[in-house]
Amino acid sequence: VTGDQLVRDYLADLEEAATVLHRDLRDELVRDVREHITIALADADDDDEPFVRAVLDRLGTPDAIVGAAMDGDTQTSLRATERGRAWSRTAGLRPLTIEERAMLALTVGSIVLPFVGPVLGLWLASASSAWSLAQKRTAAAIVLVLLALPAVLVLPGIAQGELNWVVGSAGFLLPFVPASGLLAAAYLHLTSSFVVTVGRRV
Amino acid sequence: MPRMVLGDTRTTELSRGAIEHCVLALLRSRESYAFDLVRQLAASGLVTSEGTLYPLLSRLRRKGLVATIWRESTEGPPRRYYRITAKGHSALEAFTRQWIQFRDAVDGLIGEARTEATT
Repeated sequence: VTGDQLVRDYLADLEEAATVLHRDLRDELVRDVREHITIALADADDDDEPFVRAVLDRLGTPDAIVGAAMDGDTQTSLRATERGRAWSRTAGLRPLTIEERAMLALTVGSIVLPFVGPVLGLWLASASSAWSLAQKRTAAAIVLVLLALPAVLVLPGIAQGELNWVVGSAGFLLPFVPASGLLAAAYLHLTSSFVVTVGRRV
Repeated sequence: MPRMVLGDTRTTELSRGAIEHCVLALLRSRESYAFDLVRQLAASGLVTSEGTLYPLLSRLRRKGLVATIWRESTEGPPRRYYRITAKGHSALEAFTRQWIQFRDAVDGLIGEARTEATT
């Protein structure tokens, strides 16, 4: 068993145990513990399995952690769970997380609202605590480059008065606008999986 | 829904209250990020499993006794920093007074019992 696998199993168990909690509490708890493991393992050697085991032992079992979340305000968490169920019953009313909103703006928004959608998506993404600064910067670079590219390609044409060429190439250049948001969304989606954020250090 | 069997990891009302206020005490002079807080509390021997402190921190935040801010980190995702609020300060003061009274009362009774046992 590799250290990486141990961490993944541990977090999967924690998510499983935490299903009794309200969604917000659960997300927060899993994120906090994941952050803890990331920091604890930051200086560890690649795949130092005993070290990983020690870090997880010190954290305690997922059941104990979830128990601590239920303990003390059992009523609150249970009531919150009920509320969470009510939300999901009236489908669509559950508030979206900031990452989900950013993804929507980058994908659907890029198609429905050219230029505005991807920029709005970047703005939402900047407020995310799940994505790192490097990820946000790369996503912004993808959007900016793909939005600027058509302008850069078309401007010389306009300057030389070759309007026919400009109109003719619009069909080729226009897809750059939605593509900027879609590519940024794809990038964020592919890099935000757990394997990348924690696995890299394990 | 079946209640989880928590065994001795289940904190009593008393120790939970005490640990919560120890967190506030650690934050009295400087803000700190969760990992440091958790390691300090674990080192003090007050808690055995570090993970159980995260729900506690979350509870303190929801009660408005601590506030958090996200700081971008050069390595990995942003980290959440905790600082004590004005409400947290007054809660800590009130707890400190009660705790001293409580401790003195317990010490007094334990002391008496000991004296009686030895005589």
